[in-house]
Amino acid sequence: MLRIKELSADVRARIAAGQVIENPASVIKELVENALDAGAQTIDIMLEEGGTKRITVVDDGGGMYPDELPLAVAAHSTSKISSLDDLLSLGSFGFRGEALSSMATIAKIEIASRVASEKIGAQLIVSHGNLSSVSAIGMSVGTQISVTELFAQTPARRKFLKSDSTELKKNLGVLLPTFVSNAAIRFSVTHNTKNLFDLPAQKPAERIQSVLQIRQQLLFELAHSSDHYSISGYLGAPQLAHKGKHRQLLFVNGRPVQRPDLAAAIKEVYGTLLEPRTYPVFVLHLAIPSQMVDVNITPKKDTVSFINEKAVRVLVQDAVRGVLEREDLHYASHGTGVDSVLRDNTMEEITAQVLRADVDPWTVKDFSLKENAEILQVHNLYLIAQTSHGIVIIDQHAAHERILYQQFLEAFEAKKSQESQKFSKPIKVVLSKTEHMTLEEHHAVLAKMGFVLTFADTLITVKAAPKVFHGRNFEVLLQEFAADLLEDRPISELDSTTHRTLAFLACRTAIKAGEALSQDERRRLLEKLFSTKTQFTCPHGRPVYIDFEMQDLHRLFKRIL
Amino acid sequence: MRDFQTPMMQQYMDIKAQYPDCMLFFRLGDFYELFLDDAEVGARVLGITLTARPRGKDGHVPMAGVPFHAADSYLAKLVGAGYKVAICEQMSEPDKKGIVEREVIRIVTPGTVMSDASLHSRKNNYLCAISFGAKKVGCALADISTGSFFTCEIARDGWQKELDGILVTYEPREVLVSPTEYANYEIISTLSEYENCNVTVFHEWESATSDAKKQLTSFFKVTTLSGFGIENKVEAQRACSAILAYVSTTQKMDVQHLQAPHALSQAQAVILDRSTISNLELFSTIREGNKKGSLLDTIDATKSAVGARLLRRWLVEPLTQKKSIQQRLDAVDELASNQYLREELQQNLSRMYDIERILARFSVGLGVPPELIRLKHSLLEVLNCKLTLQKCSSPLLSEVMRHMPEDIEKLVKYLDDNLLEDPRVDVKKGGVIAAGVDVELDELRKLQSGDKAWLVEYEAAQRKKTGIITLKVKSNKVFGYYIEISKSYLAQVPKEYDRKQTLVNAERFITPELKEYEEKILTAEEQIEKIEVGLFATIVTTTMTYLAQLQEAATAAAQVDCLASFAQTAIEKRYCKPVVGLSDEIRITEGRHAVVESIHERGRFVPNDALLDGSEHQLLLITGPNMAGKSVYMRQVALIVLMAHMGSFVPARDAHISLVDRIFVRSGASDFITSGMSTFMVEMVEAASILNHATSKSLIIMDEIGRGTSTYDGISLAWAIAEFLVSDTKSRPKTLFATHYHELQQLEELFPKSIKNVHMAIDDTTEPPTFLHTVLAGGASHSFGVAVAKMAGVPAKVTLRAEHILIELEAQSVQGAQIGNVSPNKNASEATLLRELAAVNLNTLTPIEAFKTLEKLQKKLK
Repeated sequence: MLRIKELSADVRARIAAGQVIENPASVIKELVENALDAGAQTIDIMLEEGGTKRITVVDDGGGMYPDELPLAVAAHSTSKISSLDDLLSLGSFGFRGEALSSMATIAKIEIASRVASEKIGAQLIVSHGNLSSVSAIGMSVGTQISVTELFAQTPARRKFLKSDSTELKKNLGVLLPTFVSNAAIRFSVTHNTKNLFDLPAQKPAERIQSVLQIRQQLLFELAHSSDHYSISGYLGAPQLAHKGKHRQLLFVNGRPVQRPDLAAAIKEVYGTLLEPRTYPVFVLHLAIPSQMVDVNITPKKDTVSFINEKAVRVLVQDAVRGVLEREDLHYASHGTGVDSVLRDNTMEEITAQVLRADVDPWTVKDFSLKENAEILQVHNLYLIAQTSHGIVIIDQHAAHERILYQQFLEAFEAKKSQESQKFSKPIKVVLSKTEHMTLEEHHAVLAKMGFVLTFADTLITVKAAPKVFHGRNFEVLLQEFAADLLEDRPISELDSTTHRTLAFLACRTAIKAGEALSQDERRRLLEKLFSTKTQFTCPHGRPVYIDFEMQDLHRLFKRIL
Repeated sequence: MRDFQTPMMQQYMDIKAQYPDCMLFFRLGDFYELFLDDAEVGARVLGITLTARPRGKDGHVPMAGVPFHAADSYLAKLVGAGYKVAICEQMSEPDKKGIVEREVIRIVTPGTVMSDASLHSRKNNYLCAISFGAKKVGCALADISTGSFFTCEIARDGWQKELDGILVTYEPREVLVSPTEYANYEIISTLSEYENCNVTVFHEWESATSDAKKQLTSFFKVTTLSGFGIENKVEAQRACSAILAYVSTTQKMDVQHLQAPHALSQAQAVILDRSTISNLELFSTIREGNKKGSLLDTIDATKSAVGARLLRRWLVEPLTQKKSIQQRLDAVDELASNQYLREELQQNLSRMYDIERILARFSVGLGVPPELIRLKHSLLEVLNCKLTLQKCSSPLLSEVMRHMPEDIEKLVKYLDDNLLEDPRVDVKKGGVIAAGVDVELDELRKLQSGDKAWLVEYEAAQRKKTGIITLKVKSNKVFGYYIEISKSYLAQVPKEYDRKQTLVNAERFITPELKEYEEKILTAEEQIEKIEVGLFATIVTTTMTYLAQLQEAATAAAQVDCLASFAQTAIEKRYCKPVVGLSDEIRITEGRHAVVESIHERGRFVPNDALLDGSEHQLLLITGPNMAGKSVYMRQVALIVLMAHMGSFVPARDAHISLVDRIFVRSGASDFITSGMSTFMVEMVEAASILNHATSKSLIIMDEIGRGTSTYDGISLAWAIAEFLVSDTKSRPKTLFATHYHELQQLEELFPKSIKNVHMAIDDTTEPPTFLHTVLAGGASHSFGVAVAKMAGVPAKVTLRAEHILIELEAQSVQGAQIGNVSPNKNASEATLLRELAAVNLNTLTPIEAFKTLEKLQKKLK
C-alpha cells in the first residue's frame, strides 16, 4: 500500500483541473473510486436526501495511518502517483489528489480510517476547510467517510442542486457502471432508510443481471482482442434494445467512460436488428495499454481519447459483429421499412381494434375536385408538383401513410388517457432499480394516463391500464416509459409497439405504390400532407417527399455554381 | 348432579360423563352447543353470548353455541387457552323417529390440534409425555400435526435441570403424566412453571404403558426397538407408548403418519440449556420476548413451512460431528457461490405447501380434496428441486437429492389423472373426481347436464300444447321441478296439471313427466355423490400408501430450504465459511454480532477478534466500563461458535472454530424466569450447573458473575470460580469471563498459562470519554461508571459528588488491592455498623429482639 504524500509542484501544475465537485454524484464518484483504489472488497454507500444531506461511504480497504489523515484532505496529495511518469501508466481511478481537498473546502467531512496492523482507527473532521485534531475511534479495517453540509457555505452552488430524486438518479448514474465493472466487489446503497442495492460478490454476468435486471439468456458474452487491445463483456439481445441509453456501459481500463461515437458504432453493427430509435444494451470493457489512452481530458475523468481512434473503433465493431454472427442473429434481420412491417405480424390486436373503431380513415378518393395547377403522376408511384419555390417529388404511398399515421396517432393519444380498464389478474413486472424508482417517482403521471400501479420492493403490479394497451408486454412498455422519464422526456411520445401498430395500420390502409390516382386525388393527397404535423418521413423513417428549390435545379443544370 | 328429563339432555349428560375433563361441543343442527358449566366457560373464553333456553321439563339450561362452519377458530381459542374439547357429532339422520344418535368423534387438545387456525406454520406443536421410573425419567415428544416423534431418557437424579433444556428447547404445548405423578407436588410444580405448557393427567397411563415394548413394536410393525435406539430404555418406551395411546384416544383412530420415534442423543447435539437459549436470544429477545431481534429471526430466510420448522431444530440441535458440519458448510458454500442455482431452488421451495401437515390431516381423516391438489403441486416442486439439485456437486446436496423419491412422480400423475384441478372442498357436493376416471360417473354427469336440454324441450312443448307463452319450467329446493303459470293464463291450464302452490300472481303445477324427470336427476345426483365419495376415499388410500416417501420428500425439501437459507443469509449479511474442528482453538478475525450488527448502518458495527484455546488463552478475563460492549462481544463469540456448529456461515472475516460439546451462557441479573428464587440464587444455581458439567470441550460465557450479592461476596465468588475453571486438570473449558471487579486482573499473573486479560478500549482524552467498542489486550484501569452516569443524564451535582468519592475511595484501596488480605474500601457508615454490631450483647436479648436488631442493621446497610 502506497502512503499518501504531497505531489511536487510541477506534477500538480500538469494535472490541475480546478473544480471537481459539482454535486453529490461527483462526491460519490470520488469516494467510491478512492475505496476501490484502496483495495476494498466491500463498499457501502449511505445517502440521505439524494446525498444533499449526507453521503457516507464505508469500505474495507487498506485504510490510512492516523498521520496520513490530515494529508488526505490537503490539496494535491495522493498515494496514487508521485511523478509524471506514473501518470502515463496509471492503474488507479484517482490521481490528481484534488478530490478530498476540494470536498474539504465546501463541506463537512468526517473521515475515519484504520489499517490492519492497528487495532483502533483514527478520525478527523474537516469542516469547510477547518481541521479538527485526530482522535481515536473503534472501527473495522478500512475507511469510512461522511460528507455533510455540502455547499452549506456557498449558497450559490447549493442552489444548483436539483430535487433529491434527481440528484439520486445522477448518483445512481455514476454508481451503476461502477457496480457492473466491479462484479467481485460487494456494494450496498441505502437512501434515507431504504435499501436500494445490496450486491454480493458476483460473477460478471450475475452482476449485470442484478444491476440491469436482464435475464441471463438474453446476454451474449463477448471476447475479442487484437495486437494491443482487447475487449470483453456482454451484448444484450436485440429485443432488449430500448429508447434509453442508460444500459450502454463502456469501460476503458476499468474506468467508465462516455463515448457516444463508439456507442453509435456499435448500434451501426446491430443495424436492422433494431427497432428505429432504440439503442442496444451493452457492457463492454476495453483493455488498452495505458500509454495509448489519455484520461486526463476533463476534470470529471469521464471520457478518454485514444492514440489510435480508428483501430479502437474497428476492434469494437469487429467484436460486436462476431458475437451477432455467432448468435446467428444477422439472419433474423428484419428491416424497418414498409415491407418488413407488412411481413411483421406483431401488430397489437387490441390496440388496433380500439383505434380502428375510432378513426374513420381519410381516403384519397373521397375528395372533391379543386381547380389548380396540374400534378404529375409518374409510374403510378411518384407525384411531381410545382411549388412556389421549385418542385416537389412525393412518394404517394409514403405520403398517405404519413397522413393516416398521424390520424391514428391522434386517436391513440386521445384514447390512451381514457377507458382505463382493470385486469382480472394483475400483471407483475420486474424492472431495474433505476427504472423502478423512476416510475415510482412519476407515479402520478402514469396514474393520470390510466395506469393503476403498485410498487413493492422490486415488483411492479399493473392492476389496470388504458384499454389500448391491453394484451401488451408490460415489461417492455414500462421500460420504455421509464426510459422516456429518465431522459426527462414526457411519456407522451410513443412506445415502440404502439408505433409499430400505428405504422402497420397506416400502411395497410394507405394507397399502394402502383395505384393510379386522378388529378383530384393527387391534389387532396398533397393538401392533406402539407397540413399534417410531421410530413417529412413516413412512419418507417423513409422520406415522404424530396424538395427541389429552384436554386437546386439551377445548380443541377449548372446555371449557377 | 342435576337430573334431566328430556332425552336430549339425558344423552348430553351421558356423553359428558365419559369426557369429564373436556368441554363438550355438542352438535345441534348447524351449531355446536355448550351446556351448563361448559357454556359459562365457553361464553367467557370465546366471548359468545350465554343464553338460557327452556328445555321442556328441564326448565332453563345455560347454553352457548358456535356455528359449525366457524368452529375451527373457536376451537383454536379454547385450545389456545389450554382447554380440551370433545367434538360430538350427529351420527344418524335427523328425520328418523326418536333422538338423533350422537358420538364423540375426536378430542382436540393443545398437544393434538390439527387445524391451521391453531397451528403456527413455522413452528412445531409438540405433545410431550414424561415417564418417571425409580432411576430414570423417559421423555417423548411428538408433533401430531407433522408426524415427527422423538424420545430420550435421563437420570432421575437432577431430572429437573436435564428436562428443563428439553422443555425450553421444544416448547411442548401439552405434557402427559400418569395419575400418580399428577399427585406429586415436586413434579407438578416444576412442570407448571413452563409458559403455554398444559399438564394433562392421562388416566389410562397404566394400561397404555404396561407393555410398552409390545405396543411400540406392534404399532410400528417392527420386531425390535433397537432401530429406534431405545431398546433398553424402559422409561423412554413407556413415554412413547403413552403418546401413541393418547393420540389414538383423542383422534379415535390409529394414526399412520407418526414416524418411528428416534432417540435424541446428547452426543449428537451441542447442548444448550435454558439460560443459553434465552441469553443468546435464539428465539426471542430477553427484554420484550419478541421474535424480532432474535437470532432465528435474523438468519431465517427459509421459504417453506417445513424448512422453517427444521431451521428451528437445527438451531437448538447444533452438530457435534466434524464431518456432518463440514458437509453442511460445503453445501452452503455451493449454494452461496451459485446465485442462479440458489434462486431457482428458493423459487421452487416458496411454491410448496406444507406437505407434512397435509399428510397428517389425511392421516386423521380431516383432509379435504383441495389439499390433495396442493400436495400434488408441492410434489411437482419437489421434483423440480430434484432436477435442479442434479447440477450440484457437494455430497450433502447430492444425498438430499437422492432422498427425494422418484416414485412421487407416479403419485403426481395419479392425482393429476384422478382429481379435478379445482375440486370442491366438500366431496359430498361432488365436483372432485376428474372426467375419464369412472365410466358410470361420467355418464351420470352427462345425464345431469345433458338433460337440461330435455327441460328446454319440455317447456317448449308445453307452451305449444297450452298456448301459454309465459309458461315456465322452474325448480327450487322445496318443490323440486314445477311449471309456473301466471294468473292471467290460469284458464288455459290443462286438467292433467296438478296444482302445488299458489303465489300472488302465479300458480305452480307439476306433471307426471316432470316428476319422473326430477326423480332421475335426483337419483343421478345421489349416485354421483356416492361414487365421488367412494373414489375419493380410494384416492386418499392410494396417496397414503406413499406416506413414507412423501415424508422423506418433505424432509429432504426442508433440508434444502435450510441450506439455501444459510446460503442466502451468508450472502446478504456477508458471512464467511468457518473452518471447524481443525484445531483446539477458537480464532475469530473481525467477528460481528449477528443480531446487533443489523441495527447498525452497513459496515458500521465495530468488529472484534477473539482467540480462545486450551492453553494460554483458555480464559479471557474481560474488563472495561459498562456499556462498552463486553456482553455483546462475549455473545458474539458464542453465537459464532453456535452458528458454525449448525453448519452455517458466520459473521466474521475469518473463523477457526474448535468443536464444542456445550455452550453455557451465564449472564447478568435480567433473566430470572423461574419464580420463587432470588436473582442471586438463580445466578448460583446456574453457576453450579456450569461448574459441574463443563468439560474441556465446553465454551463458557460468564457475564459479571457475583453481581447479585455484596461486593466482597461477589469478588470472592468470581475469583474462586475463575480459579476453578482454569485449575481443574480434567476440564479446562474455554471461557470468556467478564467482570467489573478489577481485582480479578491479578489472576493473569497467577495463572499465566491459562488466563489473559483483555479490556474494552476507551479513549479518555475526550470529554465524555469515547467508547471504542474494541477489545484490546491487558486489563482496564477503571470502570467509567461516573462517565456513563453523566452520559445518561444523571444531574451534575450527583456525578460531581460521585467523582469526588471515587477519587477518595481509589486512594484508599491502593494499599488494599492485594487479594488474600483484602482490605475493603470501607466507608464510614459501614464502620459504624460494624461497631454497632460488636456492641450488641446477645445474652440480654430475646430471640425476637435479636432478630429486630439484625433487621435494623440490615436496613442501614441497604
